[in-house]
Amino acid sequence: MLTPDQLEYEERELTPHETFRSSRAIFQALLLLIPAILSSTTGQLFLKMGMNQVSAFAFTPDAIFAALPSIVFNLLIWLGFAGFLGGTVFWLGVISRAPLSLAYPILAMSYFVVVLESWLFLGEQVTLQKIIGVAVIVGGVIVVGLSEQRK
Amino acid sequence: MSSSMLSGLVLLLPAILLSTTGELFFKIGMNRVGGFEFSASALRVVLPRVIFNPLIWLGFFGFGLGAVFWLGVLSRVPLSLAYPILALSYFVVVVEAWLFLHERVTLQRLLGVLVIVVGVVIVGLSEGT
Repeated sequence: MLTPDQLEYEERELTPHETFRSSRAIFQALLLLIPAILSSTTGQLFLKMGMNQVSAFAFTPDAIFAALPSIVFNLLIWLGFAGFLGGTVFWLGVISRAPLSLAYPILAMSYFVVVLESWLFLGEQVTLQKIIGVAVIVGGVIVVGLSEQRK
Repeated sequence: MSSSMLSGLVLLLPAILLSTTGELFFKIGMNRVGGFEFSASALRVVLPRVIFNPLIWLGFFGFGLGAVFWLGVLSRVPLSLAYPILALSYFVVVVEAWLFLHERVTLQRLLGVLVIVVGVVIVGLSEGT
C-alpha cells in the first residue's frame, strides 16, 4: 500500500538521492507512453478497418440509427474500443508519476504512429505535406522532452 | 463564412475546454491515487482505487461532453478546418497544468508545444477541403 507521504507533494529541496529517484521515476513513467500510444493507435486502426466494412453513412439521426446494428455487431469496432481502454490504463500510469505538461505533448507522437500504421496496414497514401507535418510534430516532441531539467 | 460555420467554430471553445479539463481531472485524480507499477500485485491494489475515484469519472465525463460539442462542430465545419484548431488543446492542457497544478512550465516546453501545434495544423490541412 502507499504511505500518506507518497501521496502529498511537498515544496522543499530534494536530496541528491531523491532527485535521482524522482527523475528516474518520471522517465520510467514516460516509457509507459509507448504501450499507451501503441494501444490507442492500434485501436484507431481497428475502428477504421471496422468502419471500412460498415459503409459510409450520412450524419443524420435516421442514417445513424440505420447503421447502428452493423456497427454494434462488428468485432473490429469492439477491438478498437478495447485498444482505447488499454491505452487509457497505460496513460493513467504515465500521469500518475509524470507532469501533465510534459507527458501530454508527447502524446502527439500518436500522429506519427497513426500515419505509419495506416500506410503499412491500410495502404493509405501518405502525402509529402503529411510527412512534413509529422516531422514538425516529432521535432516539437523532442523539444518538449528535453525541457524536463535534470536537477 | 456562413452563420452555421461560425456557430460551429464557437462550439469549438467548449469542446476544447471540456476535454482538456477532463485531462486535468485525470491528473488530479492520479495524483491522489499515487504512482502505480504495472505488476499484477500492484494493479490489484491500484485499479480499484482508480475505478472508484470520482475525479477519474469527472475526467471521463469531461471527455464525453467535449465529444458531444466536437460532433456539433463537425456537423457544421469541414474537418480540415476544425481539426487544426483542435490542436490548440495541446497548448491549453499545458497552460492549465501550469495554472492549476503549478507545474513548472519553462519557455522551452511552451515553445515545443507550439511547434507540435504547427505540425498538427500542417497534417490537418493536408486533407484539403
